[in-house]
Amino acid sequence: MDRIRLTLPTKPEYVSLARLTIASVANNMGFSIGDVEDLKVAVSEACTNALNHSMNPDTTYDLIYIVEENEKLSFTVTDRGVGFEPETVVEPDLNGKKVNGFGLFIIKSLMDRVDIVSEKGAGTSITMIKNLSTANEI
Amino acid sequence: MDNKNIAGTEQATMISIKGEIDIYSIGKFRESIEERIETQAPEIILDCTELSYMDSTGMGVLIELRNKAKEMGQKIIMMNPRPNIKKLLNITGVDKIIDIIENPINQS
Repeated sequence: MDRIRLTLPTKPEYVSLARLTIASVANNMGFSIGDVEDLKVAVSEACTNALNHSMNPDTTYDLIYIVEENEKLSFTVTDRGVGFEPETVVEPDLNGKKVNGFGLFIIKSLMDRVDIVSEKGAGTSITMIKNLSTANEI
Repeated sequence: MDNKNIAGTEQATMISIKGEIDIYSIGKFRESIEERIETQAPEIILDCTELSYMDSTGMGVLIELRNKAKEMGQKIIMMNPRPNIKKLLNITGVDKIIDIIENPINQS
């Protein structure tokens, strides 16, 4: 089992770095092209969430990948932002003026398992798991 | 994102969207479409042939602008989105409110 840790500034320009790293790790593990795309979206959504909940633009958040060869990729995005109550996130309303809530909805649709731990004023940790066995579609 | 390639006709105005749309590039994306909404063209076609990545940030803005365009009697159409983007449009149901067309001439 390999563990990779990245600490990123809470700045929008570095979210693409999270996508690049997860694509590299997932490609090496043998995930399909479609799964790699799903992983890029999931990590990007979690990083965007970290940025949106950040209280201070000059802070950082952590991204940890845990590679379990031939089995699964787990990754966790942890911020030190305002936190939220995951159960209060409503499904997005496509006809609304301001559309929110898509990020977590998409993560849950694309990943095999999602765990969210959040504490108001302390931050949020989103752990996502993608099993390698599902890597049979394009 | 590069959106300099804008072509317009009386019927439709076309915007070519290239690269990635995420929390970093979203401002430019929003501006370029808002500009088009101010034109009189009834249809705003987003050529997504060279759009490699889009996430919920892009989709949220797309929906807001679609609703705004609708109020102005205009329509936003996505042309040739890649399979990864089509999948997200489908998961979120955005493909039910924004027309998606395939133009074989532009497909690589």
